[in-house]
Amino acid sequence: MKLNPYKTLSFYTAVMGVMLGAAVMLTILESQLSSFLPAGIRLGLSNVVIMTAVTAVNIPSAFILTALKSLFVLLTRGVTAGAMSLCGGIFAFTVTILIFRLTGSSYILMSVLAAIAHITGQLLLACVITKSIYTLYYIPVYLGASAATGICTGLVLNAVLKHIKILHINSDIR
Amino acid sequence: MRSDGRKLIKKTDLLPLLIIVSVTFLLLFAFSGEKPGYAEIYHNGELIRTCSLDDNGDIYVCGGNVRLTVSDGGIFVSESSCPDKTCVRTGRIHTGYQSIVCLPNKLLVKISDDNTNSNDIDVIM
Repeated sequence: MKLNPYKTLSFYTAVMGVMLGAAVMLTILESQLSSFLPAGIRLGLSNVVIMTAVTAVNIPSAFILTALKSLFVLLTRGVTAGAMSLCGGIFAFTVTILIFRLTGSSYILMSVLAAIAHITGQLLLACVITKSIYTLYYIPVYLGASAATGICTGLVLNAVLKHIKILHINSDIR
Repeated sequence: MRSDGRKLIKKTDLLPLLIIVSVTFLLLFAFSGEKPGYAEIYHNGELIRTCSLDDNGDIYVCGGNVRLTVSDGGIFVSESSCPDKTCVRTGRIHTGYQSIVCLPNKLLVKISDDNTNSNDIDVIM
């Protein structure tokens, strides 16, 4: 019997490696780009990788990527940035899987809501760290920014998934 | 056709997106305060000092890790020990409902109209 190369563990491992590499690269690119944006606003490009993983690979893999991406931030940018990344990442991941599993929502709406979830998680953690609710003054700015960046990442996600389809990565991979 | 049959955008997206945008503008409108004239500096959730924005000068907080500068009726972080410098890039704040946060230093600066506990500013220049 001929082995389907797309269903092997080696293929899965390679894909995960490439996706983690992409997520890490985009995280670096994003911090460079953030100097052109108002303080604290990021494009959320690395979240495209997580949403791609949820859509085209499977949910546990997407969670592993979220955790490893935050580990990279922890190692390169310190404890605070790492914790912020993990908290935002988990919120965004949770919202993404809920929307993906429970609704037939479009990619744009999914990524806008993921961006809002990401910033909600980060603002809540910021409240805990500063022991103050005044960090919530950032809500209006970040809400508007999330809508804008969410639309951008939704467009990127859509473009990426067109090509991912060629790889035949489905949820039954292993 | 993709395996999950999702679209890039749907007509039904417009309503939630419109709600998000209107809430943003509503909050921006609601959060645009007057000019109260004092800055409150919090470290680790505790108010460590209040200063008048009419003064000019530098304030060192968090064990000298952060330098705050008060000038032209506003306040900004001019120097910080943190790696990201998000607090520095936040820039100058001068009206109500604005804040500067430096997470690594657990610092929060907000504008207020309350002048109780107002100390004299240490003018360095």
